[in-house]
Amino acid sequence: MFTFKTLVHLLILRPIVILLFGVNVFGRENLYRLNRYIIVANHNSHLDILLLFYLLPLKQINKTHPVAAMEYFSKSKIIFRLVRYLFDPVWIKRGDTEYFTEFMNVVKSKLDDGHNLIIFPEGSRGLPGEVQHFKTGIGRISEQYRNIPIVPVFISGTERSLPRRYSIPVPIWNNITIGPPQLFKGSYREITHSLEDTIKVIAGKEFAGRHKRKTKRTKPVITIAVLGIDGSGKSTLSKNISKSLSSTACSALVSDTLEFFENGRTRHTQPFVTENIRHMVSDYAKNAKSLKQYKVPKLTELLLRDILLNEIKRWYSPDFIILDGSPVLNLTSWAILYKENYFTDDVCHKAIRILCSLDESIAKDDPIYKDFPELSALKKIKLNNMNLPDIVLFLDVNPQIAVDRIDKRGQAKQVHETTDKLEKLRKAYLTTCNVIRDKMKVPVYILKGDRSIEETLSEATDFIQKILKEELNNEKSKN
Amino acid sequence: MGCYLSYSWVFFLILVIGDLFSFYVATWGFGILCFFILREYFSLVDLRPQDRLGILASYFSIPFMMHFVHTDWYNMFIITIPVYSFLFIPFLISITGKDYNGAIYSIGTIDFGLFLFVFCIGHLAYLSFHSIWMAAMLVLNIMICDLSAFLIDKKTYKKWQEIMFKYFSSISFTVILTMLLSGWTGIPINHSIILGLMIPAIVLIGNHTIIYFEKDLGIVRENTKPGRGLIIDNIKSILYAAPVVLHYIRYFIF
Repeated sequence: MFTFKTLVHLLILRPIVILLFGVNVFGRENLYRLNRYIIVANHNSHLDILLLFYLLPLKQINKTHPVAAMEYFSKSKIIFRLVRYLFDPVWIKRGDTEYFTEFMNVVKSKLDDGHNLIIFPEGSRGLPGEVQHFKTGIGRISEQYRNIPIVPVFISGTERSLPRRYSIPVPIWNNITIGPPQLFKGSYREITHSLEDTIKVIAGKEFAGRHKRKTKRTKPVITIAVLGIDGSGKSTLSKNISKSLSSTACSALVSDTLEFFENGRTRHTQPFVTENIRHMVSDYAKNAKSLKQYKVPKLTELLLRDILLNEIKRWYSPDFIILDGSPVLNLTSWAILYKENYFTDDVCHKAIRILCSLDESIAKDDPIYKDFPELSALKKIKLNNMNLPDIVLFLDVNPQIAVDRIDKRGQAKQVHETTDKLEKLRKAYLTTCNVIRDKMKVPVYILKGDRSIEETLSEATDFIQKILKEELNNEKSKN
Repeated sequence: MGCYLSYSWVFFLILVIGDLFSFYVATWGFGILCFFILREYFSLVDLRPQDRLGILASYFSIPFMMHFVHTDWYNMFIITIPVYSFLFIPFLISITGKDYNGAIYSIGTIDFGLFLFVFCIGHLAYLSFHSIWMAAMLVLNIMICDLSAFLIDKKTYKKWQEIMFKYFSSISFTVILTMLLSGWTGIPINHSIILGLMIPAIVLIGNHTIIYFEKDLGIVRENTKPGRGLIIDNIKSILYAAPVVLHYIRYFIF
């Protein structure tokens, strides 16, 4: 039935929508073949309702009612009357549970009369461009009217034309995607979840091709950490891995010195100031005469090594960074030399999370901050953004063999290079490896140190290639 | 194919209206066209909510520029966008919010769109104000270039071969056309020949540049829709050619 209201929609509202904003509609046939339906759409802006009424066939304008929040629109009498005249909404009072029964009665009477509904299950206008968690009201209505098809609709563009907290609309093109109508079985919760998933899938497709400010890195930098006690041969292994990986990609080695490799050869680069400072601090730590004297310079050296890692990622972004000892994992494992009694799996896990800023679930008064005041100090000065490696290789060598190798070098021994201390460190590294593998899902491989250099290298590279292939397959399946 | 040339017909329609009725209506036509192109561009780029006043100011630059075209106030036409709008838009963005992250990007994006899709089209409007025939000559030449580009795009040539084919297949037609139209446009024969040789080269340069950033905007040329790159893709050939031809004619002929 054509009324004055239909004419207002046809001659005023629709031209505004088309000429001022512009609309692309995809899947209009999904709506036009239906006589009764409930439209479910995401909600970003007040313009959403104008766009949804633009979708409707003219004869359905008088028979379609959006669900609108009474307390919001009743702030101004003029707006309330205008909205009531143009859209004839079913009013809901948000947060008023007593009113809900009355609301459901109105909904029932409208649906029983053969009218249609428009529902925004997010409840309120959400964050721009994000689909919020759906409220179960739509599930409850659909549960009672299983014969009325639900049409999922995704609106994009309105979040930029007239976002929340802004009152002046800006002409920006909008896109409306109408999904296939659906009839549901199952509980109201299942219906709600299913609808939310459907709209999120449409949203994902819609946003996939959008222009982004920051260019996406197609290949992220992969960090490989080689762990092991002193004298285990980790420096040799990490250098060999760097050279081996550089045959097809660019790799950086962070060991006693910083080196870049490309096409199997060393690549010359600009020196980093951080690297020079790290050398000075490292030399100071190596000359320490007690563990107490060793602690602060070593901690500084590890923090500088992590800063260096960020600088390499930022300025050179190689394909691989090979670390001769990971700063965060070394820092955690070394705690065993100072506070052996406190060093457990749980403490180790918490310490890594704190150092990598993954500590949302750790309370501020957690005992770990008392046992290890260094952690709270690092957190206070915001040095808790350390890099967790993507792949970890642990070179497991008997401490006695390691000490013999150190002796053969003929250099002055460092304070921790004794059999008992290296044994403690080996245990700590194993604990750390188990924690990151089991609780943090970081791929870890334990290499036996009694093999030849070639065998160890081939075993390590095989593991790295396997992990890279798995990640590639995972990414493909995600896409 | 029809879709590829459809916006040339829009230009013709505006020019015919300008010739038959009033140039005032034609300036409105150019203004509305600029608004549609700019709206599509702003829909495709990633701007912050804070940049809204900047976007609104760019839309409001259109009537100002068209007013100066209509009143033949060349000095104001040539500075209204590159001076006043470009100074005013960053100021508006700076007073809308405190978030300065990405401000340079936003200002650059808005200014670039305003320059290319309003100021450059404004040159065609100014050319048509001087002589509808000159504007018609430019649009016809661009149609010839688009047509040859469309036909050669289907073939598989090497890049440099493709460019040469596009240029040399167009110039014979464009030179003949500008010479034939010289009686109506009032451009001397020697300048008509130069324009006939010059326009296909500028169109090629313009097309190459705009196709380059179309990829960044996510415009898939085989599957464009209004609001998703159709308008920008259709009018891309005119964007570089219009300012160069106007300034050539102003310098050598007027």
